Amino acid sequence: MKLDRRITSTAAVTLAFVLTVAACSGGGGGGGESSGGDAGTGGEPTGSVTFWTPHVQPERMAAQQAIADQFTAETGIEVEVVAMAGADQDQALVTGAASGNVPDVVLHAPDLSAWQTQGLVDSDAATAVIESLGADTFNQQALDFINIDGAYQAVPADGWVHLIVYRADLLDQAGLSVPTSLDELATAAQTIHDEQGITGMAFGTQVGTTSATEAIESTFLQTGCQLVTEGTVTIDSAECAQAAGDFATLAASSNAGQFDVTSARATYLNGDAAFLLFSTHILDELAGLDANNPLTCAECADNENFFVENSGFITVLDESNPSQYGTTLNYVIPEGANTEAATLFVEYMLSDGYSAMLATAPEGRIPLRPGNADNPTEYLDDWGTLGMAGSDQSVGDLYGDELVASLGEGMNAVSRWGFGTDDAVLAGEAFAQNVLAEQLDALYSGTDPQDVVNEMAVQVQALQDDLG
Amino acid sequence: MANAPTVRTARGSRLSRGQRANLHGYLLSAPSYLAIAVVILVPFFAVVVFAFADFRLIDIPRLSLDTIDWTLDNVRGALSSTAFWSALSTTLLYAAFTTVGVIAGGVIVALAMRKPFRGQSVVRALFLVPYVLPVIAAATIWRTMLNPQYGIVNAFGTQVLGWSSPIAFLTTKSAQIGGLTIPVALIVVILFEIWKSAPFTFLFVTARLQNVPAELEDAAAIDGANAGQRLAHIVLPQLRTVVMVLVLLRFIWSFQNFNDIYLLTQGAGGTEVMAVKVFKELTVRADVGSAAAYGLWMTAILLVFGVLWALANRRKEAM
Repeated sequence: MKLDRRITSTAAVTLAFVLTVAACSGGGGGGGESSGGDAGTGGEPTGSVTFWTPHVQPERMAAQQAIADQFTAETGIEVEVVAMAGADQDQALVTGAASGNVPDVVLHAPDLSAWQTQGLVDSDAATAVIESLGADTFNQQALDFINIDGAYQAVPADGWVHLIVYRADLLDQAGLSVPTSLDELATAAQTIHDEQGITGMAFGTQVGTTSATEAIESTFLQTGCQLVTEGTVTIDSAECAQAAGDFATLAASSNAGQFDVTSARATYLNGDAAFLLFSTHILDELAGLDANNPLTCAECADNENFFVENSGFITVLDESNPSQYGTTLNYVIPEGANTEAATLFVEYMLSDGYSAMLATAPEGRIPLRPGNADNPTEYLDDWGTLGMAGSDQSVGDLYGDELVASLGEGMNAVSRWGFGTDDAVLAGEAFAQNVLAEQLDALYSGTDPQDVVNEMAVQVQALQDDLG
Repeated sequence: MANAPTVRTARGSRLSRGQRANLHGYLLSAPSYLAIAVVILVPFFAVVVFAFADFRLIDIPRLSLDTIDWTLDNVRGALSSTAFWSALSTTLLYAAFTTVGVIAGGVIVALAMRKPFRGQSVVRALFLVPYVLPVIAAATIWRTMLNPQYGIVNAFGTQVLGWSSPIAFLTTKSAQIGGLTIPVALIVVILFEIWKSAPFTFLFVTARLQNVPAELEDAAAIDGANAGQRLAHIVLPQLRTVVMVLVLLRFIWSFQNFNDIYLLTQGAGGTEVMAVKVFKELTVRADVGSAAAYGLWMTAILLVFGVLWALANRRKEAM
């Protein structure tokens, strides 16, 4: 028996060693070396901060590096800014955590249930930051999103909401008024498609993709449909069936088959769609400020401002269900990070460095900390004047202050299925696995919408059973 | 144990020449055993441990065999999940059809190119292109060609063949064609695999065909056998062994295929095979235990097929 014990412990050591070697060769982040600050000697925090950001575009990376350099100059803490898109963050954090090599700060969407379940998130550190900055200086809705099991899992930074962009000129031609419900929107899109031969509404409709998952939640919210209510799956309700019917009509108004968000945007910018469902990130593209997404419509050659002049925006579609789809980005401090330095960094990014951070893409980064104790709207006011995509034109300059105000307010009306409730895990998993979007096939081939949402409910129920 | 060294020296000196040669052999091959242990056995052992352990991801660096809480929850959870069974049936369909397609495609092309003709080597080289192409490049080409908005296939379909709307080949789970339900995306990933791997069969079968003695066929022709009979009774029986090996290899490879499917569809549209499911358990759900359990079941199922194949093969050889 003694010998057995020795063999097992040797095996355990080998196992641990191999796992470490395997993980180290794959990971490569600088988090491992940055544990200097954990000593807690009471002096200045030392070491460095590894920061993962999903804003990976070269211009935005350069801007973020500049903010990080400013932070280094003030505190002496080195910052490594690592470009990593959301899906890659999942993979990299899992392998990193297995080897004990994690980044110090991760900017991530609010779907933190998987990480939280696996103990990857340092909620004490996040709570400490929120309390030191003042919980009442944050957007309450955003705080609810990242509240799992009664504890803050991250620190809200910024967010965007979905807009329905429409071509006012095309609606005029067709004699249509601006829709005020999902039913009206579907009818308008179909009318445009039938009468003018172009796509009614361009939006994410590709079966089983994240684009479609977002589009489903965004449109279904407009009829008051809920995925799950207090533990009971409610996606088979009458409201949801109505929304599914409208979704089918909207999808059928496409002239070019199923869209993902990228092709939907390209279609609108080419002048081939009357409506576009997109995040606020579209605002700079419409003005032709984004070289990667040029304006290609026939009229745009003569008039660069064609879309700015002819586009209208619906923020709240249906006044009786004023819920808007949107998402937030949050600073996550992983378990095992250099907590002290990470805390300072996050606090800096939400105070002195905040406006500069929002300026990397102001149209899609609406502040979730509107101000501080001295001036409750300081950052929100600053944000309204930030130029988009390196130009000096702000959202207000191009589209008017009314839109700025409604976007700022829109963050308070952001609604997401299950987030901030006990159903957050189920909703997060259903979203991540594109459960609803997998059922769109049946909807497109003419199955009764009620049957489709019934099947959606069966699949969500199966997921709930799996989760236990 | 104290006098062990002396015993060992004494025994060492009494080694015969043959024993010494054996020892030499073991020593020389030791590095490869070590490599196998480090890159295959130990990771597999880790998967087994993870599949039966109750732990959170964050605990892994501090995990040791003495303190692990053992549990059957992961393996049981996998079996009771509907996603497991749908992934399994998708995988079996995928593996079966790709195996048949790859073998049939490779054999047919090899037979067609048996007789020399002008430009034969060029055609042969071209046929190998899909196999040589890096999978990421091949997948990108297919994704671009099948794109609903700007892909050439849909452009041809809508403008020449008169389709009413473009088809999202890579995300459509099923479509009704003439009363039949067709799993569109699954068929596309199967076709991709056949296109990509048939050249491998082609190479093996061509090599084997070059060793079929011409006299056999000549003799049969003199005896009055027509081309069809010569193919069925002379050529194809010669290919049996190589095809059996290829069937086994292809089935195992297809069963655990991840790259091709993930790069084409990310598992959307009813193409979530076991390997993709394991990956998603690991990255989307961050659940190492569950992912390990799925992987272990995958191994077990593959083992069953391997044993069945070995038994079937042995019986044939005995006959």
